[in-house]
Amino acid sequence: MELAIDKIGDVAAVAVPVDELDASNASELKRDIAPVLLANSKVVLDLSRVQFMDSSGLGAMLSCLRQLNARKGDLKLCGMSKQVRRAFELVRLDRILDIHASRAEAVLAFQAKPAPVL
Amino acid sequence: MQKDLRILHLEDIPEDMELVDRQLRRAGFAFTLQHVTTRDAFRQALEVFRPDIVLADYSLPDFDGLSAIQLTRRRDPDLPIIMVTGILGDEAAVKVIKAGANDFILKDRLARLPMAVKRAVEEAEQSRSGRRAELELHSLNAELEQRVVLRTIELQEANRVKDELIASERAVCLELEQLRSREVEVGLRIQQSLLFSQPPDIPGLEIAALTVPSQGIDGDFYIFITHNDRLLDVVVGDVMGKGVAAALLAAATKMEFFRAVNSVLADARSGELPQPKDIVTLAHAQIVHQLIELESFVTLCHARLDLDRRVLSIVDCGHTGIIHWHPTTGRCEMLHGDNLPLGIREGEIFDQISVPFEPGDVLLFFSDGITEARNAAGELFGVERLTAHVEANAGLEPALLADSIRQAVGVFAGLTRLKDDLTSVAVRAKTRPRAPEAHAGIEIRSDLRELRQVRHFVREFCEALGDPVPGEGVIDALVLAATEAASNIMLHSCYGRSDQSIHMEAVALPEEIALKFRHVGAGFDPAIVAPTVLDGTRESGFGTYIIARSVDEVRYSRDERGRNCVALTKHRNNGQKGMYFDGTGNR
Repeated sequence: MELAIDKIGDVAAVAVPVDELDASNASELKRDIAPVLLANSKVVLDLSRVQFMDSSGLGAMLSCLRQLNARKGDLKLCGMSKQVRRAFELVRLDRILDIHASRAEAVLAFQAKPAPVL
Repeated sequence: MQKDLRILHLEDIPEDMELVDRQLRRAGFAFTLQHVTTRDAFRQALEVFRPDIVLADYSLPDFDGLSAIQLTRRRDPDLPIIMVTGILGDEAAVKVIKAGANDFILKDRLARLPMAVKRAVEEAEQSRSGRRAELELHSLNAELEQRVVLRTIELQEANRVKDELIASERAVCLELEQLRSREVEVGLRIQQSLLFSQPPDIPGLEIAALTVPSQGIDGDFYIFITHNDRLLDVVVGDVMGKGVAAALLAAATKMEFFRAVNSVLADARSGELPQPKDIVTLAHAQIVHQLIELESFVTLCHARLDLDRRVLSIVDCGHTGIIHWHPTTGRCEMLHGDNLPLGIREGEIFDQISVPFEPGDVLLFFSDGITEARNAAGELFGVERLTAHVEANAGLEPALLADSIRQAVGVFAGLTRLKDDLTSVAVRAKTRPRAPEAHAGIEIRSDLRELRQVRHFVREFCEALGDPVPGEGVIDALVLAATEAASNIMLHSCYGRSDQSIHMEAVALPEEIALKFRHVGAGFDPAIVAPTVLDGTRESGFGTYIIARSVDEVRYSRDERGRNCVALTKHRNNGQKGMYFDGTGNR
């Protein structure tokens, strides 16, 4: 999938370009976002367009976080719909992933403090 | 003496011969006497004359006494020889005795001769018989030894044969035991996979089936045939006999029933459902020949529950009958038909009886394993005890009722081993027949790209429902759970193929919404799913967890056509049971 990447300082903001993230396209996202995760340590995933996410999508989010963490980077999410947010809460991923209302808020959160060292 | 004594006399002096002859005659001896004077004559006489005793002079012109002794001894160690001589010095006397003479007599003391002869002959006789006895004993010993050896060999052989027999008997026993346990295993597998099936999910009915296998395998079986949501056939049967043969016959009978149903359905004019009696008659026609040939038969009860007409139609072929409990009276009624069992008579036509039933009624189908269970005193559990138990427990939901019957029979039988399987099927007509408010279905392929369509179908179905209108949370939860269930089926049950068909159905009842997925392929076993890890260390395995948390009930089963069925049910009014999607935010 075509990923639009906006660099705001050292933060890379990526909009997930699908309405629904499920078992049919989650692995495609994982594959296409891999180079972004390698090139950047501060990544914001903008989910504004995503209206539905299933366990495969949740797994992809978690995978992004772990790849960044492994290289001392971090991931922040933003623009979640109510339904997507519920799915995150259902499997308690809201406790593990840093979720923000808007892209600006997420970028600000990166600038406020350095990426956590794990 | 008994016989003539044969005396060989070695003497060269005729007078001395005469003297000896006279002396022996005087003593009363009966004898034959041969005189020899030379060595050759002596030797020849020993061979030919074969004397009983030898008398020999010590000194002769061309022979001598010592040589005579040696020749004699060489000839026969027991042949007595007495020296009869004129003079014999002490030294010569010793020589004579040492050489083996029995005695010596001086010619001037011939009076001693008869006594000496007698004694020598007797001694020789004794010596000979002693030697004989010794020989006999020796050969006896040898024989005995030989016998012992032979007997020992015989015994060893017998022991070996016995050991072999024991070993081969043990092997045969072991083999038999293995065969038996394998038979039991095979029978149980047949039973579980072919003879029993999951009760179907019918909105107006609560159905529970319970089988407790006995030590052996019974030919118990049951069949559920769902014609539609308002029409169900329940067939409960029992093949005579036990073991794999009975289980296979039961499986064959069951198959013929399905075949008969399909066949009469195909023949029936549209909209007209064949009667149970037609199904039984057709199925019977297919198996009667084999049953008669195998000298077996099948007792069976085919019942149809028509929820719309509230009629129960029964074809009872010598089976146990049905216990019908009425909530209005609290009493049970035994429903019996009077057909012959299957496999008795070719060309049999089966009769059907019909009885009305009301919501709340309980029907209990059972195998004779229940009524024929015995206690330690040998008493039968019996139909009366069973009806009394049903009357006391009919308020329980069917699954609990069936289980309570199992327990009651267990308590009754105590430690007595159950002879037959305990099989029971309990059916309760729901008091408020719940006609579905809406019902829709689609067919999708096992292609992940179809997940979008699954969501669209669920959302559209839910949003079209009237009061109580399902809330946004309820719809979102159903959409999510349906996506998870469908991707599970596509990813894990279709062997990686994207061209498999999955049938999806949505049913709205006054209180709940049910989503059902039916598919062939590998079934899902919730028991083997690893527990979901939610600490962020795992990127997958959330699906099953999400389904369980999003809906109120998840049921995995196999339907009457062998398809796997996943049924998700959620309360319409934002559900009290939902963990998250209940609107309260409590987790």
